[in-house]
Amino acid sequence: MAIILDHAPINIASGFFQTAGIAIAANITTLQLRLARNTTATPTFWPNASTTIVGNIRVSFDGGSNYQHSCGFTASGGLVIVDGVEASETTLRGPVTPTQSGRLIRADVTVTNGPLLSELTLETFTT
Amino acid sequence: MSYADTARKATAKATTVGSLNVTLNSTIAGNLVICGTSSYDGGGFSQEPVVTDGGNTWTKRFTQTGVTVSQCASLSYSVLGTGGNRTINSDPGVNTYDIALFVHEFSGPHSTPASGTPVGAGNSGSALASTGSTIPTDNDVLVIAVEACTNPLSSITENAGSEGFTLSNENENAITGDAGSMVFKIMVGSPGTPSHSWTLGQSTTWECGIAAFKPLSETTHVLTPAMMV
Repeated sequence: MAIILDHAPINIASGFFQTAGIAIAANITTLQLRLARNTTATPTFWPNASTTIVGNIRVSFDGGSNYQHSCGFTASGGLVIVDGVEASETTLRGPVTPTQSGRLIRADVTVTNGPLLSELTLETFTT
Repeated sequence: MSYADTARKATAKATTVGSLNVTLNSTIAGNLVICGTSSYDGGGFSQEPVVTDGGNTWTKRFTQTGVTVSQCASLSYSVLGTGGNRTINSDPGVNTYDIALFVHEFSGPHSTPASGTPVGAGNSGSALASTGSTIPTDNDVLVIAVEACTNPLSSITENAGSEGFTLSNENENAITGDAGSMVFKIMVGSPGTPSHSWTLGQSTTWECGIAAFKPLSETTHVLTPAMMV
């Protein structure tokens, strides 16, 4: 596993946001995105259930001229209890295949009722 | 024309989301795409996932809901009217979910491919997840089985079952998404009463189901004189 971003602070206003292309190694098959959620210990993170995110991961095989959709999710903020425990992250894990050199990944994000204040971690895997 | 595995498949997993999607690239119109979903809502609400891809018609084949928890294993399919890169989305409807998606494309389906009646099962507190037997009504069917289980760090072993299934995709020892597995078997001739089982790493709550799909055309099986004696 390699960490591209490690709990990087983010503050995304309402609207559409697109990251720059991020280069990944030739043998990477899987990308994981982790978004810190609202908890008792992190009360300023993504506190409102009305703040929603539509996140999509895209992959370029031609140096950034074109991007193909890989995977995506929708999620809402606020405190979420799972099995009696506060959920600390929203997580997405999906493919960035086929493997080859020179690939770029990009995140396309739409936030409603922002801003979305959180921390973002991006990790890559070879299996 | 019978079924063939195109080897085009994809999986995605997510934790604490409202919906999840994954793109299956370079699909071909007329082929069958299967979407197995393992989903879990720790808040106590269970909803059947609705699968869409922004254009084609999707049909739910089964949803096996949990015995004591808000979890389900679900199977939907589409005979694609439009191929190409398809973004397949699974939305359980309300609340936040842990989800795993397993999508897989097969060539050779009938235009109305459902065969027989799907069966499913669920249990809490055992380490053997078994679908029970389905009874396809056609020869040369494609059989798909999907499993979901609660314990996130449990291993999942796909057993040969009665017919020797092949793993499509799984979410084993799952930290991200709900744990689960999808397997398939392309049958030749009379299918009998196929079933499948998974051995889990520990006793937990599980749900699973199995369903058969009719091929575009069935092979004619000619009896030789020796066979007719």
